[in-house]
Amino acid sequence: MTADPASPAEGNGGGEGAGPLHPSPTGFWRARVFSTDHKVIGRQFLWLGLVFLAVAGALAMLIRWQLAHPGQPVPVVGALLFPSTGGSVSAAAYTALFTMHGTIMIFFALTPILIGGFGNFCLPLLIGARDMAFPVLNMLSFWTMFAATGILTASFFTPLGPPAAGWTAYPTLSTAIGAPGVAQTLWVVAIYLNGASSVMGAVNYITTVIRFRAPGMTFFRMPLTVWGLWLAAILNALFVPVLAAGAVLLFFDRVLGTRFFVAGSAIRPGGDPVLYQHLFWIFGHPEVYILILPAWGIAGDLLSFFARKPAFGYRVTVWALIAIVVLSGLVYGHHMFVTGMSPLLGEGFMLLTMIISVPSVVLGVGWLGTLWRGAIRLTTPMLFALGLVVVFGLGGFTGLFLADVLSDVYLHDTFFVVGHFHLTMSAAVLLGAFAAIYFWFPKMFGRLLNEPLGKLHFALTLVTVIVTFGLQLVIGYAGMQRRLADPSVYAWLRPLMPLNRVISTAAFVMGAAQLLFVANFFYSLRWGPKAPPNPWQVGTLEWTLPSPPPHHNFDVIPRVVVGPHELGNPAAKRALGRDYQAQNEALPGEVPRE
Amino acid sequence: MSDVVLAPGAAAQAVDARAEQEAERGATTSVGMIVALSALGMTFASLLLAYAIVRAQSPVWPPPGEAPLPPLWAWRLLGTAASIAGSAAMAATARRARAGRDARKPLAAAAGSGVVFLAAQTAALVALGRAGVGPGAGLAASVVYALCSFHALHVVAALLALTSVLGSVWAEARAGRPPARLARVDAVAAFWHLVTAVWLVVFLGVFVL
Amino acid sequence: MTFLPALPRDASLHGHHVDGILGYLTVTTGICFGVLLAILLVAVAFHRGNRQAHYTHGDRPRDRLPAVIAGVVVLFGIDAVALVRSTERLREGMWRYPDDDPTATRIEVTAQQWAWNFRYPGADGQFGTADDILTLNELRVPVGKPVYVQLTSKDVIHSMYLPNFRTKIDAVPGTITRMWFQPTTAGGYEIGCAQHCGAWHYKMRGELTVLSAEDFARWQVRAAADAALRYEAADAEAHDAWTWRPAP
Repeated sequence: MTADPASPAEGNGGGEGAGPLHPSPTGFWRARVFSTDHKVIGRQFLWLGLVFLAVAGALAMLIRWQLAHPGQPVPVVGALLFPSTGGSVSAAAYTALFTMHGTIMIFFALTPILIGGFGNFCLPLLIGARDMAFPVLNMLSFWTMFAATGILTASFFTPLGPPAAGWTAYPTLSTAIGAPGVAQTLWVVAIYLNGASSVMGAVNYITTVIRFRAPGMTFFRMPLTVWGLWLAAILNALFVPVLAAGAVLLFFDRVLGTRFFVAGSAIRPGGDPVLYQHLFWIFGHPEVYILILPAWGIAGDLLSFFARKPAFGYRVTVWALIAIVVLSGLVYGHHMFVTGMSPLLGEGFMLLTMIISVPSVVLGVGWLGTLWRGAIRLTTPMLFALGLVVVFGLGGFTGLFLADVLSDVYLHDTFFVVGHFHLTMSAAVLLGAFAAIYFWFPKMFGRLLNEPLGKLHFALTLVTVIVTFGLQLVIGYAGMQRRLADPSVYAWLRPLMPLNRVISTAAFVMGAAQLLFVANFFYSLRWGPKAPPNPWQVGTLEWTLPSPPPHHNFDVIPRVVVGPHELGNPAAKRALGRDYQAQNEALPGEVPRE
Repeated sequence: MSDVVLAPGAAAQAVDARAEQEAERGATTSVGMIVALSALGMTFASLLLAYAIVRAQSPVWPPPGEAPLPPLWAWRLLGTAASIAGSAAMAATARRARAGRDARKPLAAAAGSGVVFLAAQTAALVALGRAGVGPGAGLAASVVYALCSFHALHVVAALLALTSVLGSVWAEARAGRPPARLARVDAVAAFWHLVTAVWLVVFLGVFVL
Repeated sequence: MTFLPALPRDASLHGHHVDGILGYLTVTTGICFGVLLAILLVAVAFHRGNRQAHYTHGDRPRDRLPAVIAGVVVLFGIDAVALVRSTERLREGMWRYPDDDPTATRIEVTAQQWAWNFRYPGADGQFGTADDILTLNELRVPVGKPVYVQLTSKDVIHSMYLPNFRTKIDAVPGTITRMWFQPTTAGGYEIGCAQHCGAWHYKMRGELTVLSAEDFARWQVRAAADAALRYEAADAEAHDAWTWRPAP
């Protein structure tokens, strides 16, 4: 009856996280497809996320082509993708491009990579557990996500074209009025299933951290990566359901003809399209924190690891993360300043949104303090973590422009917003996820990625991210709206078209640079040098295991005695002959700090 | 491990270890269920928030231009009674299971109540349709159709959850021991209570007020 | 080629408030980002490689000082200043609707996929009467007087965006929203749509012409005569005006 590997073993002294030492499943389906092993599921999410990152990236290239050369046929692939227009992006196609780019990036790339992928792979290892609390639920969460991707993919091939109401899908454009085809309904279903997958994952992550930490792994000894993932899971559990509610009502409006978001008129009573925006953004704002929290956590750990000293102000950092999580639910109205909301509400949301800048600043100070007077090793993961600090700093500060109602009324729906969220989201996925991949690739796949190629990938990515999205801030400042298939329709925007071409060029280089990563990834999977257990020489628990770890993770559940960032301790240097101390490694004669 | 003073024999030790294992597993299941029910609660809370907003924004209810909906009290009250009965039965099931007594009867009663609820809800929606009030008839009708059908889907889910503990309750009733997965029975009961609580809010908020 | 952030020509009474806050935020956040970057680059340049890292957890009281200072600077130097100044400017500008100003030009805007319908009340000052002036995509207003606009949409959400007046407001089906501005310089300006409203959202362009008082009066006379010719009592759709919403 007790077949699941996560129940405690006898005599193992390890609490809930210690499971019996099962042999790994051997059949193809149980071992590779419907596995309940968090490491396999994590890799499945990573593959899914990377594939869709590439798809969404390709869509972005098409968007950038259209903005640089409106109406001109797309080279090479144009005739194949847009046969009816001779290879150029039509107005309707453009709206589908930015809709699917945004939808896929947020829900089907960022989420699966950072949360499904690294969350699953790393969480049990980092806290000293054998698996997640609910391994079967974990497996179901992946396959639910997979089903969602199937439905979203299907929506590309419907008679009236793919979903085209923006990733935000505001009614009434997303109701039968603005989107008569079946694609938008499929979009709603895909989003709902994606949300269900996220909530299943959240149940697992939250429970696992609460119940499965190894003995001695107190909350304040957890790596910041775990904090980031755990807090993101809490936000997921609380706020994805709000999106689900909005999706359900939109689904009913489209399929049953209910009138929640379909506006009333003199002859036909109806609902309020703006109601959707409330539901959407009550989810939507926490969502951006869901996406960045794991990246913040990873960056916090990596900066410490590669500066060879503890994270500066670990506790204060954790409280800042918690403060951001609490505030994130209270600020959503800043997305709706121009919907005609009352000035009082506007002032309230402005105040709360600005307050969030304070804990964010605390995070930044912590990162700088970690670097200061360190012995910095500029490995590829470290470079990406540093890049995240720079890009998030830039993107984060631009958030203040949007928090202030006075400036936001002008900047809303311009490329300034696009630049702001692309800088912060790129910090999360293009820098944070790559940092994670370069860091944990050895542990996941047992081989090392090529360092020089990684550094080149970093340099090109960082420069092109800053140029592409920084210049979008500039072009938005000059007033150019977003989601325009051809901005040159407006006389005042025509002088900005050369700038659009510069942005597009930077974006094309960014896209091309990712091929370096793809090549490195696949080459190293097969032919990379074999990875030792601890190539980065750090002390978190996953690095005490072989690369890759065995099915059951830990032979013996470790007993944790110190925090995750015990590097540079002179006492450890004397006792152990190296500058780091593993979390389950007590120094001779030392009483562990609580 | 609990403090066992001179265990009399290996068998007793194994039972203790197993009991502790179950307790640990039970605590994990409870935590997981709390998170899951919080998430589900947030979904319903959001739907009810949406209803509260559209209702508050309208000067009268139903909004101007919409005819009042037939209340169909017979079906609604039957459904409400079934919902409460189902929760009571699930609570009894959990209590009996914990005490090691035969919990089959209350479990079956819960299942029956769930079915009665679904039947009453379906009949009510069909009756509404027959009276010419479809989902698109207006905002009030939209609220009734959307909330009732979404809630009913979760009653179906609750019945499915019930079948997941059916086997163990049945088997353990025969052998006379508490179900190995007590926490699961508690969890299923908690799910039922949430679904009932949501219905009571819907009933009061949509039909009574 | 424009590399510096060049704001569109400001032709409004209160636009400079927006430019002011944009400038203030650019300078202050620019300085903060510069400091962040400088510290990071110095650390990466000089605190590298085979040296003894300074072993500290940064959790002593005096280690908290940098975070406190940074927090205070941002909270009071940027956030509070912006909040107070912007709120003041909003209350005396954008949020002070000219409900009681008889000189304000009132216009009802009905947005649709993909055009702007403008309706003037005409000589009788009432919307929905025979002397209403209706224009498509062309908005003419007098200089130096408030322009008070109420909006709705026939289909999906649109957003009326006036870059030269630093303002925009959504046009929501089933709701009446409002916005006001005061042109200070005669000339031709563009109206953009700033809410994705379908395939031809990018073409939903209007022209705002600010005229001198005399030119505006002359135009009104011509337009009124034209409206009288066009008016058709039986054309129900042309009469989709609403009663002007008074101040809430």
